[in-house]
Amino acid sequence: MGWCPFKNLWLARKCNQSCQCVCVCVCVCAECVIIYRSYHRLLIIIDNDLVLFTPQALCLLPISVCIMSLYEEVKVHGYAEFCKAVSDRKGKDIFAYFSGDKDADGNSWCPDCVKAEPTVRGEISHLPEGSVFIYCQVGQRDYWKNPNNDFKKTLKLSGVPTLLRYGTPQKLVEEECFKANLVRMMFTED
Amino acid sequence: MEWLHRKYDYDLVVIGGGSGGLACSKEAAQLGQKVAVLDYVEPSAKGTKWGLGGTCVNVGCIPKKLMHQAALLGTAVKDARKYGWKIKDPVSHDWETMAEAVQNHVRSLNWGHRVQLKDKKVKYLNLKGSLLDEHTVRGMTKSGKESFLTAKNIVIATGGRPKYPTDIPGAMEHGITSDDIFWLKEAPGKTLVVGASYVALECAGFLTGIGQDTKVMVRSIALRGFDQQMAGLVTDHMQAYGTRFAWGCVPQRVDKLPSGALQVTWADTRTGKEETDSFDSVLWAVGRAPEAKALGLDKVGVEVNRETGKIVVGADESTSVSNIYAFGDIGEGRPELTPTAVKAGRLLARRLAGQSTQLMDYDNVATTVFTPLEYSCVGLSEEEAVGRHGQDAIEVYHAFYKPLEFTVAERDASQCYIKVVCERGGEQRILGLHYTGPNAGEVMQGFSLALRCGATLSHLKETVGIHPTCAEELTKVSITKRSGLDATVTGC
Repeated sequence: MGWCPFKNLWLARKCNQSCQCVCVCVCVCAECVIIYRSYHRLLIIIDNDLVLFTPQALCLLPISVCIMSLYEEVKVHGYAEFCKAVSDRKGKDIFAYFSGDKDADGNSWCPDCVKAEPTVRGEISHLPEGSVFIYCQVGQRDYWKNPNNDFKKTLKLSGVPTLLRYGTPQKLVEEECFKANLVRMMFTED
Repeated sequence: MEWLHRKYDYDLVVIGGGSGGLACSKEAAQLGQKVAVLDYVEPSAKGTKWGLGGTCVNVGCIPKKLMHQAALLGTAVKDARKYGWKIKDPVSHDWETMAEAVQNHVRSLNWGHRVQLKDKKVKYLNLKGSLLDEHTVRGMTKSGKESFLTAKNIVIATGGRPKYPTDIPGAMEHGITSDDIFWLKEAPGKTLVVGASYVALECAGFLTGIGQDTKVMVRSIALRGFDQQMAGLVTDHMQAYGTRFAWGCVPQRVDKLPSGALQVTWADTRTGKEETDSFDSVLWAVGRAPEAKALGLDKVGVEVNRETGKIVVGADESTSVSNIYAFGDIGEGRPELTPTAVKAGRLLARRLAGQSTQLMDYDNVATTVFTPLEYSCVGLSEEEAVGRHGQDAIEVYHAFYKPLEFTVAERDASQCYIKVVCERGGEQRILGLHYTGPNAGEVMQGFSLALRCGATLSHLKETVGIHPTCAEELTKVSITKRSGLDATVTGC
């Protein structure tokens, strides 16, 4: 169990879907290893003490860390799964990234999606607290090319990759996703 | 050693993120300048506020045209029955559906501007800007926190806001303006529109079109500054279309009734009597005031026109302070239009970056009034032409025509009219074109190019019309006002 000074409560150390491990080392106390990622600094609670580390310094520590980010990441495949993920999280600030399906080797048929993903992932630490990041694989190339597919018809997507803030007109399409400053703007500004 | 050369935080700071401010800042950034734009919306008296983009995007051209389109579609649906469509009676309109769709589009435009500014590396600050000195801009947050930016050049493009009448009790507490109408959550209901500017007539027009009981209260004349014959055709059509007009009336007070309705008392200058009626909403469209008071202009020495409150500007948009410029609605004597502000902003940016010396040409700017019967014009009104050249030196060709689409729909085309004002002698250069009819803006755009190229009456008559259209009627004018002959076009 760990004590979070920000949330003022005890938290389980078991990581959920949204965890992003930064580095792997041996745990010091084996109990308090809850870390809150705050932009480029990592706040680690060790033995009830709040200790601040930069990512570089963290790598030197012999600690096994499990980072629980301020946002929740959900991976979905296809329109039905996307809709369920959204309806299960009513009232939340939902960001969705739509990409062409990846094959067994992890490569997408959509070259722009391949190009944009590192940029979007690079800015992910800027997502607001309590928000949701849905990573949605839309389907195979043929499915996507069909102008009547659910994503195009109902969600009004015009291309992949698309990064949008659900329920708002905020959206970045195709080449706009290559630009880190635009992605960061969507994640950080109102 | 870059810090030695960078004396100011920015090469250019623009105060105002509307049509003009955004165009200017983006162009300047593209030309390599370090630019910041400050945009801040003081909520209206009713509390309405909006995002980046200025009047046009949020409470002007864009929502206006969309609601005008909603109203036109209502008429089209009725016409459709005559064309064979089986549409059940009665056809009703839902304000909430329209308002949400319009507001969503506006919000997507706000976002689009945010993306563009970010992409072009323009620093956007949601702060209320004012001048501290000729090189320093103060930015203030809603809570009053201040920050300061220094700039080599400062551009003021803060535009204007609707005026509330100052001498009518209850006007501000109970009335709304164009700042509010597009953001209402519910239909305004039985509405009194006070004013006869294009804002008043356009709003009254679409409100009537979507089924709201609407009355326009006019103090003296409609569309002041526009060709008055054309203005008459516009208002005649509106009256035939269902908008009620109270000519020569001046509101005196607005009271709220226990039912929540608004009781308006007015004086009818024609009868001398006092009248009263109740409305659900009162929309004030009695003019716009420049957003200049809170800028700190007098402290810095920027000259302002005493009467209008607008900033006095030179042909190059300069003010009385050498590095401060102003353009758009805030500039004295400038047309209050988006395209002129955009173009002037881009040219100003190019001049400030040392890339050009070209000045903005404010002559022969085409414009359209989007009333139920649209009116577009370019160049001089008949009155202006007579004033400048004399009655004997001008010739006016005119025609009443009937759009083909109105025939099957059995619609009255009495106010569909075209007027070509030209010089009487020599080449008969065209001085002004006026058109009332469907798609007036689309019809006039190409002709404004012709005027820019110095089109003459023979150019117009030599042009072969596209058939069947309304626009072709402009190429077929032959009857002069002077002849006194009947100007009604007979079919082909």
